[in-house]
Amino acid sequence: MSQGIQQRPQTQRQALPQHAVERIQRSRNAQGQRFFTSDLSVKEFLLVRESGFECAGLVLGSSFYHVGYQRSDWSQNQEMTVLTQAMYQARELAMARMEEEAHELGSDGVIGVRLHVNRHSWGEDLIEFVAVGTAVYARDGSNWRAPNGMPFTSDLSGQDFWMLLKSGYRPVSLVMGNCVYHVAHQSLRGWFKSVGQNQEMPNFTQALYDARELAMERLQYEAQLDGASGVVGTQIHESSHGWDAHVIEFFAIGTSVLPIAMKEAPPAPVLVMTVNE
Amino acid sequence: MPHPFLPDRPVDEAASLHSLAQGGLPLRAQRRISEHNRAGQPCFTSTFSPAEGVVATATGISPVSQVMGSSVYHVGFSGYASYGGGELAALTTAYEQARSLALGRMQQEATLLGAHTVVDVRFERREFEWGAGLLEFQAIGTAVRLANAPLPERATLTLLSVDDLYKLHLAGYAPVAIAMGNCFWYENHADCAGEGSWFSQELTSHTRAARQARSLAVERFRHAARHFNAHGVVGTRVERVAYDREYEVNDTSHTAFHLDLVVMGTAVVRRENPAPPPRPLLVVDLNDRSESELSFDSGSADADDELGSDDDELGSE
Repeated sequence: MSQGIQQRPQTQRQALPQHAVERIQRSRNAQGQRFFTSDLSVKEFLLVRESGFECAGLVLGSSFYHVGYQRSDWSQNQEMTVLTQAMYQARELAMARMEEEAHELGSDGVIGVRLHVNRHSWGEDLIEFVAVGTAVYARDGSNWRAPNGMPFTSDLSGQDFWMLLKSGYRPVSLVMGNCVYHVAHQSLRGWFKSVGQNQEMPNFTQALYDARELAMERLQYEAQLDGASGVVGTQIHESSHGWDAHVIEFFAIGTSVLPIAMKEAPPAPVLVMTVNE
Repeated sequence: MPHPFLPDRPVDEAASLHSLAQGGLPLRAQRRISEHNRAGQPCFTSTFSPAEGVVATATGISPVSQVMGSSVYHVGFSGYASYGGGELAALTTAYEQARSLALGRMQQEATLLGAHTVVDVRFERREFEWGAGLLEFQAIGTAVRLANAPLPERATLTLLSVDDLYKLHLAGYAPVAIAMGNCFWYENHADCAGEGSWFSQELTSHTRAARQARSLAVERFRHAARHFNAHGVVGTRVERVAYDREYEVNDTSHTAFHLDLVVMGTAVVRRENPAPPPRPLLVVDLNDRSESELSFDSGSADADDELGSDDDELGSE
């Protein structure tokens, strides 16, 4: 590729394992030609190339995290801050390592990022976080990195990436927010009081509402820190990750974007009718 | 690059609960919205995919923020008659109230954001492992502004996706509200009719339950749509949950068949002087056939579904 490895941003860099560095270096042969790996489908591959990008390689980051213990008050609705931070930082670590691999490959960004959370039977409190995606770089050597100088990240597919660029935006970063929340157990007295009653339970409404709001707020905060103008494709997932059923993680994720100068107007949608269906 | 963690900023929990008890928003939600409004260049959030973003732009829709509404409701069963069956009016009202509370909160969020309407609403009913008798209705959508339209007093809600809204716009209609009608019905001893019998026969009580519940729900649904002065309803969906439940009346245990039915759709009105809709382009999808021929399962219908990917449906290529 034409642009060479860019100046490294100074703060909070991740050191990669030696074999990861070697693997990345081996992706270029003696003549400087590149060999790439990717998990893109053929359709995605076509559209990524059509948008003026080339695949640099499959990149991965992972982190095993020991998630600490937090005592929850049986009758309290409360955020489990220790768990929230553990789950958050572990994802951030996995993401940062993946970004580092993408940086080493001299790529502009990573598309199709997927975050996996795995638990294993051999490690009770261990949670494995994996971030995986395909690093890409611009064929004409233009710079598409995020404002902080690192490769952009996004969970968009190749088709969505193509469409995003056509619509006048570029991806900045995969942004996320989470909140691990303990939902109060109902006291026996409260339970007897509510038997046969049809009514809203404001304390439970508030618990679930607050947890989702906090996750969203954190997602927006990340997008603002990254200097983005908006977030597309937001989703909120819920999971108990094998904890007590009263402890739920709310996880918000999306791709933050910035507008780009457009040479042509975004494509106008056309109504089509598929004949062979 | 790792981001600093944003800790929770405490709010007055009692005031927040009070606001919820009035059908309002919790204080954290209010704070997120007021901070969004005060920001010089607010960061938008949306549930749209990039393709939906293109369609939204073509329809004059710009996203403001993802919005949400939720209500956790305690459902108590009462009002059974000792014989026969009928509507459990208390439950019909409870479900209706819980749904309206959730939608109402989402509408409040959108109105506070100065949005015209909420699109792409995902409306879910959930029950919890940790809370017997608790039921949550949760709505998540994207609050949007419309180009060249006066701001309504309250944001309008739709169940339509952006694609559907675009098609509705081309058809010359605009959404006004979500119309809903529901019914909670039970039939006593409904499962006894065919018990011990070797013959195939109609379970008339089940049929009756389904018919009566449906006609009550549809009637309410039509009434709701008329209330909004709508010209019609599109995208109607019917959700039905049916199960057997045991209960006691005068120390006698009964098993009754329960049916929770809701009909909802987006009420629409005709726009004035719409342009005639464009004619669709006929396309032959070359993907479909080749893949099904490659498949080793003969006559598998599933192969088609997998290939009907989003980009086909959006028709934006």
